[in-house]
Amino acid sequence: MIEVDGLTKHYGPTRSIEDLSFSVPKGDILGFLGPNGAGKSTTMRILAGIARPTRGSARIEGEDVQQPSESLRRKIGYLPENSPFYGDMTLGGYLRFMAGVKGLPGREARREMERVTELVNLSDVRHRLMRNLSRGMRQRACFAQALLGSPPVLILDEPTVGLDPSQINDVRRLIRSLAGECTVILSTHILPEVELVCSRVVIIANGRIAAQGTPEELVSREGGNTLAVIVRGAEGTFREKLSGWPGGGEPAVSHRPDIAADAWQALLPAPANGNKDPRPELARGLVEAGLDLLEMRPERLRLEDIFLRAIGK
Amino acid sequence: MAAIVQQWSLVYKRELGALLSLPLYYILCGIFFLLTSLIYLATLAEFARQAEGTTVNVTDSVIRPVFHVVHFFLLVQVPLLTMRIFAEDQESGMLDLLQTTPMRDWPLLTGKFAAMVTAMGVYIALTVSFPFATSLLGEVEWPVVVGSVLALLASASAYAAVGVFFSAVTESQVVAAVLSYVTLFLLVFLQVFAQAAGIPALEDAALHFAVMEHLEAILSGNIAAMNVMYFVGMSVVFLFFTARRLSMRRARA
Repeated sequence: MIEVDGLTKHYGPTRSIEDLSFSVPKGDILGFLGPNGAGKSTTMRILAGIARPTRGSARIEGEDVQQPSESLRRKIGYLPENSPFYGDMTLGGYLRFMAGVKGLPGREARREMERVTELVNLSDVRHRLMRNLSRGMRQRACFAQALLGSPPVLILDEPTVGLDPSQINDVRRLIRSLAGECTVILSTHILPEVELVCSRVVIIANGRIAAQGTPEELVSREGGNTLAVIVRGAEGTFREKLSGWPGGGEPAVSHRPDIAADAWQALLPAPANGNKDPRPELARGLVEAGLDLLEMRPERLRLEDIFLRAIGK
Repeated sequence: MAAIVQQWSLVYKRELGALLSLPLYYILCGIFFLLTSLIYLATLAEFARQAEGTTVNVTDSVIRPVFHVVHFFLLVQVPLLTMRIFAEDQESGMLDLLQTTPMRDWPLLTGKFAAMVTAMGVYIALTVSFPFATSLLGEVEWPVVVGSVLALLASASAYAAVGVFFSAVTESQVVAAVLSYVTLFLLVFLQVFAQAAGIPALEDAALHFAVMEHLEAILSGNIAAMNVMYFVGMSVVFLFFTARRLSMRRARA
């Protein structure tokens, strides 16, 4: 369980984050989404206890992260943004070192090292020096480090950056498999990642929360999916025919001179599933009224549209 | 408690491994050991020439000057080896990662410090070969040798503590080295500065705080608690500063 309340961080006159409030229920995976420089890493660093907020508070499992006790730190696995490592250590040595530092006794540290290298598919390169591993391997090694000791809370700063597509899939599958037992907060600027992995989303832009909720909530709050209808003919007739559309109100009709001089487009709320489909009737009505029906297609509102809208682009 | 010991020894082993895998370590130790050997041979030759028929003491005229040289070389190489000790971890983000773990700052910094002292201990141990070689030629006062080695170890620790502190202050290794040099040279040559300035109060203070004062005392066989405590105290003070600096990192970051 992670609770963030009014979190604000200024670096001198620069505002990194401003009044962030959100919470992650136990076992949920929260995607922290924002363009580069939006304040994602700052928030992650505060949660991990290595940066102090200017104002506001953050609690993990009920404990303030500003003065993290040893027991709190034991509960948190953290993957920092640039996946640091010791180049002169082998992968296995590095993970055993981190396990020991996290307080796991010798034999358990070894077992944990073996378990997490297995999880991130790096068992074959256990004996290679970290500095000789590829960037993707180091990234996964550092991710594995966060999993040592199975902490109930994971703070992952861009866990898939620098990985190839198949590794990205593996890591996403791994994160999804943690849902339920682990509370995860992960930052990313990759939209599909959030849709595929996360049960909740917080979108931040310029240090402020622009939108938050489950992906479905965000889509429906932003007006849900729509149906685009394009005709050629008289605008008045078109509007008249549209008025019977369920849940419509006054539909937005716009001129489309790029298609034809007398082409018009309307965006209608998509018909709800299960009700009688009103589309055939509308199509018939339009044609009978002498309009040329050029197009009728569903417009699927994606998280990407919401994201772009939220960050004001 | 067991966890702290384990964390300490992990940090110690890893840091010693890192130091011993540095080419710089071997270059510095190699060059300085070679230079010390040359100076030793020259001093010995000079001694042999002058001592014809006199009763000049070999310990005073050969061993002690050579240990002064060793001390000077320690002063030169310690900042070069300590500069990376925290600066590198800060730059790579490793220090951030370590500070999120349940490990406290104390095992981390004392582990690193102890590794550094061990690495310097190896260099000092090499220089013990000079009194051994000399003992083949004449009577060596062993208590003076033991005292000198102790003085060298103690001063190396104190310098390492200064270097460790400045390495924690900045992410830049070069800045860390420069700051350590400035501080160490100030401390070592405090008397010279004080005398040059001609301020009696400063000269008084220099008597207590200048490194040379205490080092000379130990090197001449006077292993008084005061003199050893001076170096131990210097180590403790700078390690304490480092600990403060590490805990302040979180506050300011």
